[in-house]
Amino acid sequence: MELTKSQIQQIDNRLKSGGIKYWDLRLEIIDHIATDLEQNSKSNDFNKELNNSLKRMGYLNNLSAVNTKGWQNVNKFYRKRYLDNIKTYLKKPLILLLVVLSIITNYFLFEYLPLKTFKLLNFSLYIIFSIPFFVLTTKLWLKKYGKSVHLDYGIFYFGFALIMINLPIQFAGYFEAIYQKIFLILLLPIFILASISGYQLFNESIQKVERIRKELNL
Amino acid sequence: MHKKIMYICSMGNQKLYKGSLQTIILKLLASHSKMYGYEITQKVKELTKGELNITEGALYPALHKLEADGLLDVEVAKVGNRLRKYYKLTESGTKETANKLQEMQEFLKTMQHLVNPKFSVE
Repeated sequence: MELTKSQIQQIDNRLKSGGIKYWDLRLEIIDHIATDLEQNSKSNDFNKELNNSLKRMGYLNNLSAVNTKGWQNVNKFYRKRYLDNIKTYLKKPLILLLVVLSIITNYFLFEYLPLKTFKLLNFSLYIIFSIPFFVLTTKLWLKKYGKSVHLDYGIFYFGFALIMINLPIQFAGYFEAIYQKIFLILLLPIFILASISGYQLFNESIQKVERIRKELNL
Repeated sequence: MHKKIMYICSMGNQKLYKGSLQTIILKLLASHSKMYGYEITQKVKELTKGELNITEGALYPALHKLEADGLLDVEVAKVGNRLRKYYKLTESGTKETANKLQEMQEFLKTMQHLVNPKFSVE
């Protein structure tokens, strides 16, 4: 017997209150439990059968561990894609040429501009390339898509370069002048590449979530 | 507590089966165009006549890991009042399945030589 919408909702509520806070992690478990209940229920007591099903799955009192394992796997997936994207970009001759040109341009700017002006120019470029992050994440937040593990990691990796940029800048001061120079010249092209990779993942995560929502008629 | 849900439960040989879970999943998906989680657990139970019962706590992390490694692709479809995630092999997943099965054959052959030198699976 097929479960009703209200019974599916009950399963969802149970998983949520048990610690699986991301709705896109709950989807698959809901289907598993629902299929199990449809095939193995022996009574009409839905709550009792739900408990039995969770026990059979080894999930009873274990739901927060399922949540942790779930987001760890999604993070791993996005982290791998983030690095793979950058490697793929660098294999494309046009992108590689643009990266080399930007490094050469930055080198000449460093050589011929006063250091203060060079830093101000680079800082302005960091700001310009960070604007899409703030605009697009605000637009996404206004859509109210709920707590999605895919969106969380899409946003995280979109902003990852921005979060991490401070680290090499802080540490640069501990190195000799020549290394500081290399840092300053290379950092901007790396930041742009990483931001583009993050943007691609961000877009993919939105597409993934919108596809699921469309299937759910939301 | 967390580790407890990671085991594959079988009648007695769970430790022997544990390292083979990914190969089992890949092999099943190689012979079916796409499968969902519950279907995989039931198929394994059926094929092994109940000897091997994969728990969900072991199955889904393994599926998600294979997906993260680019070996599986996911498709979502509405079934009844809920959504179902189907898994299918990617191109590199198909290649990896062949490698894993080859490794498994070699492992079995080696084990056979070790535990019973007089007989061989060849």
